[in-house]
Amino acid sequence: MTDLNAIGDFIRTRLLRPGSPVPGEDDPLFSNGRIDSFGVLELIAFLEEQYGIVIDTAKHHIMDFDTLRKVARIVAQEREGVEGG
Amino acid sequence: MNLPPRIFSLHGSFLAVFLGVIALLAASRRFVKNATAREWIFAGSQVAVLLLIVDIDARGILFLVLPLLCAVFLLAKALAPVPGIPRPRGALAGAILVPVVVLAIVKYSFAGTVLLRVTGTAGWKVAPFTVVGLSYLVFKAIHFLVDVSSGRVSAPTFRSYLCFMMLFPTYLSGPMDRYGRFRRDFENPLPLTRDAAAEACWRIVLGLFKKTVLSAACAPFAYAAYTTPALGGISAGKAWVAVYAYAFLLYFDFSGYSDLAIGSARLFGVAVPENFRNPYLKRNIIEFWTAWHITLSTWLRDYLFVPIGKALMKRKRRGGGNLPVASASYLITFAVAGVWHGDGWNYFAWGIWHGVGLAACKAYGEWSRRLPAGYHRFMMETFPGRALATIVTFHFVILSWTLFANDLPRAAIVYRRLFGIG
Repeated sequence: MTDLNAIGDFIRTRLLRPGSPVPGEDDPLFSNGRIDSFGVLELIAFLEEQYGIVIDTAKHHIMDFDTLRKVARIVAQEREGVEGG
Repeated sequence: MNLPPRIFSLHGSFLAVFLGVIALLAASRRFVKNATAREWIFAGSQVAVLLLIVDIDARGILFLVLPLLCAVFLLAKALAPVPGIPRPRGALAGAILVPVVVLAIVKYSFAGTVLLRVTGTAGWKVAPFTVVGLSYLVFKAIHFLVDVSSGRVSAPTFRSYLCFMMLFPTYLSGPMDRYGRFRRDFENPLPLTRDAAAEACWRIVLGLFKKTVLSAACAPFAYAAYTTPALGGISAGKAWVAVYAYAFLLYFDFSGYSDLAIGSARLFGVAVPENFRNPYLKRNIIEFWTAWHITLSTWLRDYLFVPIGKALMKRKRRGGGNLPVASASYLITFAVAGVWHGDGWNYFAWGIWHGVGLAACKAYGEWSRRLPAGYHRFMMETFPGRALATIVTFHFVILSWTLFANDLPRAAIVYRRLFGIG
């Protein structure tokens, strides 16, 4: 299972402005400007390192990373792919 | 002085044809039962309007644009993923080069010079006709190639692709739609209810008002300085007036054009995406680029910035900071954006200006994290803080338009006048 807390913590401490609360699972992150395009790239780099996956940005649209829940779904899909060989 | 591209001539015959196309599409949807036939009528009507009515050189469309579009479609079909068969390495890059090289030859003098040296033909000229709208077509072609080859778009049809590329309200200057989104409207056009028609007509009227009244009202003030042959003689005040006037001229002209395109396309049943969201009210340059020419900036983000940033992130040494990667990604992306806008070093300089601004904005964001929470509250939540950020961003942007409106030597003179140097 994907650790939403770890991802949420990374977003809060690294990508959101200081003092921001932990984002809820369905809070928009990118579409409402809380994180920018490069923030999404930083998030992808974090996910790849943390979970040992490779996220192909040609297959995933940047809006696929708009909420914690969507991010967790991508991580789960990619991990299934890695584990399934 | 560089003004935004002119739109189609809005003369009586154009209006008659425009209304005729709306009637034709409505009739085809009502009476033609075969979906394929209906779609060909839609696609054909757009190509016919571009060829016969709009004030552009039809030879450019017949002899260059249409063959190029056919080539891109065939390449995309060849690149579409097939389970179990890996794509040859470099195939996508090779396919992307086709429209890019055509654009370079047609649009940029350096490409002509290179070819002249290679071929040794004096007075070599690419085409004996003008080709307009090619910059937009090439970006749309790249999007199509990438999305089909990645599997994000599956089983494209030529008629929907042709209509996507040639939809005449958006042909010259966007907004740049995405094929997957467009295709849904193409195959199931949005119903033209009374409310939808009224809203579409309102957008057209608004667009015309912005272009013919507001933009035109700004023009004399911008012209007064920028078209003065001896620019060195203008006063600082006149130069500042020109800078402000050009900023609003550009905004009203371009957003007015987008309104016209959005309203017109809606009458055909297509919901073209929005292109402007109060860009001059944004609080930093990153926000500005989410609100100005949105369909271009999202294209730049998806097909340049993200791939470049991802590749640079991979190469970055473990533990290294992300700021150099962000800065390089912004600079490369906006250098390309600058060159895409036109043939001249001033456009390149404009791109670098914005690339540097975006990198600086990112660096400031990182640096300011160590400032107390009260500072962030002031900047984000109080009127003075927000107003200050908006004013700084606005001036950063409008000063960059000087590079858009003038070649480099003239832009340098304007900057000297603005700041009383020399």
